[in-house]
Amino acid sequence: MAKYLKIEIPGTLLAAAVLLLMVVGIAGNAAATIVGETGTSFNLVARTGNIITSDGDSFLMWGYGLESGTSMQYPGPTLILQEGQTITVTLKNELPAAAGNVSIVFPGQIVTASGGAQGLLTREAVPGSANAVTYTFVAKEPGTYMYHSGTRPDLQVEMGLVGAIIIRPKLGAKYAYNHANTRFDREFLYLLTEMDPRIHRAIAFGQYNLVDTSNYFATNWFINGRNFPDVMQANYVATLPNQPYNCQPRMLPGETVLLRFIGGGRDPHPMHEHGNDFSVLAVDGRMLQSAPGKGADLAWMANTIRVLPGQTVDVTWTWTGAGIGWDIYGHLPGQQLAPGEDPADHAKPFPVVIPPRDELTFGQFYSGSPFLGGMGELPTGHPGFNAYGGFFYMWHSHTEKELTSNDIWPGGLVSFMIVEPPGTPIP
Amino acid sequence: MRSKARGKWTCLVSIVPILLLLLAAGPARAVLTQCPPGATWISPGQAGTGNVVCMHITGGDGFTYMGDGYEQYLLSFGHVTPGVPDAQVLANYTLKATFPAPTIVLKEGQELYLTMTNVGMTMRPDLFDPHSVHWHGFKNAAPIFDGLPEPSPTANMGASFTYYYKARHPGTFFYHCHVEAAEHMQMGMIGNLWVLPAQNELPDSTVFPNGFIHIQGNKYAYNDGDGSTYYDREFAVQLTGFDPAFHDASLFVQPLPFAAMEDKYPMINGRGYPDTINPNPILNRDGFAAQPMHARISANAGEKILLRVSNISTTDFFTITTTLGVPMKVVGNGAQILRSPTGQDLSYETFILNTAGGEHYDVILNTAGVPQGTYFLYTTDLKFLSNNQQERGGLMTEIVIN
Amino acid sequence: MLKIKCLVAGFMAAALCLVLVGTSSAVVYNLRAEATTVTMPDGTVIPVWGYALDSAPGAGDGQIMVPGPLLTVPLDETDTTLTINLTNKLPRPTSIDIVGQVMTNNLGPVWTDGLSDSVISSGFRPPDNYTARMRSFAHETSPNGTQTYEWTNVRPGSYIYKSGTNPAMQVAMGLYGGLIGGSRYSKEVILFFSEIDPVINNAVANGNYGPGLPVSSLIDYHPKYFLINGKAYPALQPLIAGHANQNILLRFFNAGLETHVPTLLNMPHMSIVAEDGIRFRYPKRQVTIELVAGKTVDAVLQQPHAQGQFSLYDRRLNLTNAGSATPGGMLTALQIQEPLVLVPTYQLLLLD
Repeated sequence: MAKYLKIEIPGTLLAAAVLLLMVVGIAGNAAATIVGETGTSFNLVARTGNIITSDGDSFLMWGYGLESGTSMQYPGPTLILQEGQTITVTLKNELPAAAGNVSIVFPGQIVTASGGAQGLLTREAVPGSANAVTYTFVAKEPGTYMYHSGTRPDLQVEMGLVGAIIIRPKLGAKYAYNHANTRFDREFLYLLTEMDPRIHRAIAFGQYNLVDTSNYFATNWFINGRNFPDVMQANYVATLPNQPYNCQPRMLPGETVLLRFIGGGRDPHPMHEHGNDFSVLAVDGRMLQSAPGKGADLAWMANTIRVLPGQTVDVTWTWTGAGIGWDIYGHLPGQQLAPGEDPADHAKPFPVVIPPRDELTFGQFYSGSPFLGGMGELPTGHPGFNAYGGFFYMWHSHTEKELTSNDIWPGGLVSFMIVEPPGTPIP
Repeated sequence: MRSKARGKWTCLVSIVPILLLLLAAGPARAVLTQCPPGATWISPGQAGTGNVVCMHITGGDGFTYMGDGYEQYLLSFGHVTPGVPDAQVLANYTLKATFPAPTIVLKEGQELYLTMTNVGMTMRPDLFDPHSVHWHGFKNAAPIFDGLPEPSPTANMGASFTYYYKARHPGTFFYHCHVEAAEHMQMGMIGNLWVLPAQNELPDSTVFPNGFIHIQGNKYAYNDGDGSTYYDREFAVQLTGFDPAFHDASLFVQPLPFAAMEDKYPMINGRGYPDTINPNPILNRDGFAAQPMHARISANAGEKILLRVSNISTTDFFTITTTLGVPMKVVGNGAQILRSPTGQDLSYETFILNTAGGEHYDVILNTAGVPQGTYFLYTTDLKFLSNNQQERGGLMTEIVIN
Repeated sequence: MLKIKCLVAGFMAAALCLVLVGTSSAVVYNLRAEATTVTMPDGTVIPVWGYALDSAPGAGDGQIMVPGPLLTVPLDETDTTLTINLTNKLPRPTSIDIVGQVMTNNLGPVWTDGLSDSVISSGFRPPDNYTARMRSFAHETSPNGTQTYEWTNVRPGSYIYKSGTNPAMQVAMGLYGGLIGGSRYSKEVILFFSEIDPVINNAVANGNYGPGLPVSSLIDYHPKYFLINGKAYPALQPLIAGHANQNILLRFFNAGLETHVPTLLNMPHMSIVAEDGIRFRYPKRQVTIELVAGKTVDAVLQQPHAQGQFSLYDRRLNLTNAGSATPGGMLTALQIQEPLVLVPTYQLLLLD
């Protein structure tokens, strides 16, 4: 596996990150709902800060942060709103003067802006924290949306000024939209961005004149502001102070999870789900429906979806293992069925012989057993990162180049859904 | 004649030390096919008979030629001829990777025992990568047969792993190696995988609810229940690309340029135009048919053509269009018939189909009314009408209507 | 004469009737392809190839434009055929191709011997020849020549006509324009996206493009200028769209070689009703439009909530002119005027 380039990967870094996942991430903080800021009034400040990438690098960013805090974050705070409420967002500008004005646009919302100075796309906050700009809109329709800078967006969005908006429907917190067929058990956010490090280096050294956004060429990719495997660490982990949001989906067989994809950068990404097909419910915060009231009756199924820049896509996904042709629990005849198990495959023997250990390479998430909830012997040196014998499925960009962090494999736009065996405690 | 752009590298230089290593050093490795009694062996592109079928493929390396004659090193899978003893596979199947990898065709309901033997990378004495098979789009998959190296075991050099699949869903799929996917897929480990629907096997003269009458021998893309995915001829349109800087770095054992990766040789079925229309296999430096699959589409006027489209580029989206003047009817996406859960017909017509890496589509071209002649299937992403620095190449092929 | 005409355009079949004045006879356009230059907002002058609309074949009285003149075919009872007389004042052969329309007098395609300029076949590939390369999808118009291209039974909707000869190079040079089958809708906006990579244009203009020359393919195409209707911001002025209580049709065209994602700010979601001239069974309500290379998309703004200027831009953030720090590129605004007092006499019947 390792050869010239790859030897340069700080192996300890990767191992440490994954170890953290086991210690604090998966075991403790993989929430079933998306974390963020709730309420109707949000006071944001644009600030500079640094982020850490999975290859051990660090980059200067511009980001939105809470005025009550002292830092920025990447992405900006996820604003979790309730349908029908009137929302006020204020923005102050603590970026260096050379960065110029800053602003927020809310695609898909009808916004009234006041204060600050008139810019090209909206009103802008000028440098100096006294000059706030205020944006007001009604969270009219539930769904997944985004916000980002409307001031020189080709530079400022790249620098990190982007965030997610979720508007929860009146029907209830476990629904994506106001229809029963949009119900979910757990939800996960996938805000996708990319980075051209040359731009961040130039800005960090004050060389604004070297920035040429027409030469844009991304070499680093993020989900919720983190690369793989940092996405597996806990929300708000102390080691990533400006990257609070993880992406660590987990579920039990038969549950329905909602994935909220947001194309936050400027390149489209084909998001591919291992394990099963998903159902596409909505695009840009609107259900795919043939007529009002029908629910997502035009939903379509696939395993890969193009998430365009500026676009949001909501999909639901489930997994049962039914019909696979062998008993995924490894049951013997006469043993009880697991909850939701396919009776047709019950006690069917595993179909092949797995070769001897020394002929194989074992991935870090292999439990040593092909069965859900099973554990088996692993070679000496295997990290044993699969605590419950879960089934791991990579959910990733299928532009496979994007599975790297600035030339280093693995990294970038990768996450893992873990289907845990029935009974596993998941917060 | 094609030029050999690579110098004096020959197989013999490195094959000997690798095989010696395999055989002499370390624990024993074993090539081992697993095929149940009574199963039948299938060949690339051919659906077998019986409920249980077996196939043996290799994971290794080889050489191909690009549309401009440039020789390109690659990793891919090769097909092991049924009957070759396991013990002879390592000796006989190095540098026998094909691009695309062998096409696997199954019938819905069949069980496939697919043995993948890692024959090693002959040109890469430094490389000890395992390989895997990932059936892209397999529904309700289990990690053990999903080919992801992180949650499963993968076969080391000289060893085999047998994947088991029960083909429950018809459609156009593909498979690829998922080990270090950005590298192994850029390097070429990509093949077609199609599952023919059970509807093909209906009794003659079965009448569908909408009045469509099934005739024995009719072919469909899906179990549509109404004949809407009927076709007369099917063709693969596998969209991929090679970055020569990446492939050359691999061959010459240099750091791999992941960040700089950019496809410069966009291809259909492993070839750039005009090689796409050459019905013959393209032989590599060793006379081996490393590029066995052409992309020339032909039909009689009035016939329906099924395009089994997939994009497995590691860097780019590709559009396709045709000059036939008839719309492309998209009936399947991701090996799912385009129907909503409530039964709405979500199939659609378009003249330009966009595809991203990981997407696979079933497209029907109805040639009724199309005059005899030669037409083109090409990308409207016009920069990809190139074989690297050579114009009028790349992602284009010809459609002959007789 | 005054007559009631029912549009059968793809995006609103049988849904829209409007009152139109007059009718036209056979639809014949005399296009001339010729080199010219365009000036970008930063002052850069770029050689391009464009089309002009002449009064007669070879008359030479039209102005070369990029994109070329917008062509329409009314598709009434008699006028369903498009005829283009193409006069070629370029140094290379050229031709016309329209994705989605069937050329009915096509005498091509044309193959050359490999990459050479030597034509070895028209209409069919020579038997057992696997090295000839397509140069033109249809019969060619030689330099200083004129040829006729004809499409009977033009399909309704929005289309792009462009060069069908070595299209990668010739389209990058600017040989493209819009075609509308069916009557123009009175409240519609044309949004024609394209790009320029000056490296390609300068190489062609300076004789440095071709096999064995410094630029020999488009594989390294990297556009620096991003245009809507041939102009980049700030040269691009707000586009008059209609009134706040009207349905406004946005016709998006992309003759660029890259995908763009037009987005409209501070507006209700657009109803995307058609692509490539083909109407969707169900409109798509989106903020973003996937406008891939060569594609057309028709979208309807349903009775905008307010008058004013509303920004429309490429969400791929091609918002610079050749890397300049000042705003540029694919950015414009729709000018929505005050609501009309009169109730419109027509209505778009579109789902929610």
